[in-house]
Amino acid sequence: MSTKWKTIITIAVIAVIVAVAVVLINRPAEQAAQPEPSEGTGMVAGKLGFPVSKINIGEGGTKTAADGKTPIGYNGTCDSAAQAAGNYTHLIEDVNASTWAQQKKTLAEVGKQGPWIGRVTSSGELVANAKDLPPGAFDGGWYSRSDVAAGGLYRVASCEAKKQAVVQVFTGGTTARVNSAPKAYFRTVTFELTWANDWQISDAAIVQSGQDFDGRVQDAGPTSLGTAFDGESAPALKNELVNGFFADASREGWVEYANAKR
Amino acid sequence: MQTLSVSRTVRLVGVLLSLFLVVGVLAAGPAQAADDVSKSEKLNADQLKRLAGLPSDQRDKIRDRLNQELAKGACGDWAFHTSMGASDCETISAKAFGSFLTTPEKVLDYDTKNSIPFCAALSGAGAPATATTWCAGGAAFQEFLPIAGVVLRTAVSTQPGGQFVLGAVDTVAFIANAKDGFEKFANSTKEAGVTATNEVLVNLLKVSHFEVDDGFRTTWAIFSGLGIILLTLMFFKLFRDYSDEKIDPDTMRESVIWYAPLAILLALFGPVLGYVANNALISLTESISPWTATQIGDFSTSISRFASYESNGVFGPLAAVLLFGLLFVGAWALLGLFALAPIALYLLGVGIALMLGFMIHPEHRARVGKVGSLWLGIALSKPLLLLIMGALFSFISSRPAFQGEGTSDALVNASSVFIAAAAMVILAFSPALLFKFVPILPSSATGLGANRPSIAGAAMVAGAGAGIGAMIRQRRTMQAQSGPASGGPAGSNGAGQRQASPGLPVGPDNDMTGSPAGAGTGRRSAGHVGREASGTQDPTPAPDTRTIAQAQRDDRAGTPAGKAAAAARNGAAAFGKGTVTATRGSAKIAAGGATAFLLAGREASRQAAMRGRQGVHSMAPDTDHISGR
Repeated sequence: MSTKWKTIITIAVIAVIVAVAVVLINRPAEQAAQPEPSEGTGMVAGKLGFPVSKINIGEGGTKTAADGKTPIGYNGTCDSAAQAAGNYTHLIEDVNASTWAQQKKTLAEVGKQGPWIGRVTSSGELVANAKDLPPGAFDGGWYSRSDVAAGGLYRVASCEAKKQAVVQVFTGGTTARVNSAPKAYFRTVTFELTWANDWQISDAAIVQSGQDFDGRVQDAGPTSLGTAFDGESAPALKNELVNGFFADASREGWVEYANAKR
Repeated sequence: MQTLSVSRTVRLVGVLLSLFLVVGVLAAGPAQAADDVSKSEKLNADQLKRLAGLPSDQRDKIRDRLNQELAKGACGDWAFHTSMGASDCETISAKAFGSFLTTPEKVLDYDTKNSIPFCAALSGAGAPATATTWCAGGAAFQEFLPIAGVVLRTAVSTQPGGQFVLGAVDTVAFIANAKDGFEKFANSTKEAGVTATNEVLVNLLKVSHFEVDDGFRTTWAIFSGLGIILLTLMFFKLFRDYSDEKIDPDTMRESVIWYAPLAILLALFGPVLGYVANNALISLTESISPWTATQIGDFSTSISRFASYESNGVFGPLAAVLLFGLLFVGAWALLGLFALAPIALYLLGVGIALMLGFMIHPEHRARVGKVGSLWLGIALSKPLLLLIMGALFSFISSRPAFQGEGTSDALVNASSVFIAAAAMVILAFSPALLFKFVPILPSSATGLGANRPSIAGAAMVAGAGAGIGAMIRQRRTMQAQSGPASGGPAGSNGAGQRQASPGLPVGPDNDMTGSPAGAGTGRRSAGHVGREASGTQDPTPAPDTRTIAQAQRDDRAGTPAGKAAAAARNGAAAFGKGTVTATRGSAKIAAGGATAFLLAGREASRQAAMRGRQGVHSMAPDTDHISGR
């Protein structure tokens, strides 16, 4: 009797366990949340997930500044502010001992006077005034040479046509290294442009991590600081690289120039 | 319920272990190949732990060296370098970094994007005004890397203690110009043994992480659901047993009013309790691991000394293959042990959930307790193992072979390898002893290690423990099957029962050679006669004046004669192997008896009177009282 009872109990228990297990396993999985179809922004998403605008770097101006290459004479729209910021970036990023004086003149031509000039020219001034030029210059006197198309991104933080615009430009470039080969870099230059019959720089900075350009931008923007590159010239951006650059910055609002290097 | 015989279990474990080793050997190759350091590689958790365990002067040196590297990176920037003018850029920068990066960990965590604290510290470090202006003026570094990858490794490894932090060992060939295959084999065994030991030890703490997380909770939910269904079924069995008067009202009350709500509460709050207990143990482990890491570190230094051993006198290729092979096995077994602990905890945890229903029935309650205590035992074994490891390795590191310049004596060197290997083997197999004293299954199914050949001389102690464990278990099984009323430790009158039974088999040899059937029967009736002075005899051998509980249990267990016969069969089966290999078995039992004598000190007087059986009882965890009787 006892044996029988045990057998029956065992069989019953196993049957119940199997039944419950079957029910549990076949319980319909909770409906996975359907990914919301992304809203059309009117712009086509580029390779890196940023929308691509129609404006090009190097265009938008009707004439050139005294240096013969910086476009000036914009039409005052917000798109033209983004173009102007991209076109002015090299004036802040480039440092070449031989062309420094000319570059400073051009900067004064497209910018209003202000404390920002001392800030963005401090590195160049160091080279220009150095008793011994620092070692490591490349390609004939270059210490820093921007490549805006390699970064190729901009963000209009605020803009009122023919009045004022705050634009951030993500640029690539090459920087000299003391005692080693030059290295590629990417970083964000932040401009405040003011309309005076043309877009003029009224403030500019390489906003450092943790700062916000006196509250006019939401963050400092992406930077490659802390990322090592192999080559001297800025490499074509890939998703992993971009993810690293945007680790401390929001991707919101960033747009690709139409002729960015991708 | 003979599930797997001992030898089959051992064989199974052997096959699994060898499979594991083969996989380990195959995986060791690619792991070695993938050793080249990526650019952004930082120190891993183990290396950081070892760094934390270094003496403070060594930590300071490493910090200064790393700050030097940061300074080098900052001064690589042409603008900053220029702004420093004629000053020594790197020295001043290193000083500036050192003023706020006061520990090596802070240096490693330093975010090169944030130059503000550095710029603020510059003037204090004696930088020229141009530099502080440039820095504070908002000009930012264009290229400034955190310390990582090769730079980090080079910087750390050149400092004292750095090799230990990185866990790097270079092995030299044991036999310089290997002539034949065996000598080459000795070389590769040595290299594999030393590198495996080093790698395994430094990464040991990585694999043993167990967490009561959401996944565990989900699994627990499913299993405790099943457990509650089992609880319902158990209620039926409980009621049926009660109606059959197998259970007395006291026990019934206890089961329904105390254990049933307790089971439900545990089903609900089991993961919470597990989380709290596990976290307490994790913090215990964390508080021990730095110390153990230091000891392992010292041991790593010893291991790196093994790496420089060369063939010398009697310490030839054969000894190298055997000793370094043992080192290899010991290291991987230790890793396997630590790796298996989380799985065991996980499975036992959900097993408890499934078994919660068993708690309400007095007959099965003990098993839940056993599984629970096994879970706790395994969870506790990690800090304990870490402590023991620390002690063992600090002992090994203090051997003469590892002091100063070491020794060229072949035997001393060989024995040091042997000590290290044996220590790891003992550690690796020590938890198997845990199963000895927490027998979940009624027979020798858990007899892992009972017939395990002692690999190391020192492991003989473990073998003796295994022997006595097997004895205890078999004895308990027999008693359980011949009915607890025959003298099982059944509550307060258990001792009196035992003392009053002249028919008890004294000593293990009785089971080996005597007739257990007769002994069982005699034991039973004598026990009852001795206890019941005015016992009126029933038609059945059992007296009628038993207490209700005893009557219930006896009835449940069948007729005493039948049970005695079953005990005889079981005894014969259990000891069949022992009789065949009589010499080995009795040697083991003798060793077991000696261990029992040593261990059961507080029972010494009783042991003297009733050596074999009493000793065994004093060792065995007495679980019957859990039922409340």
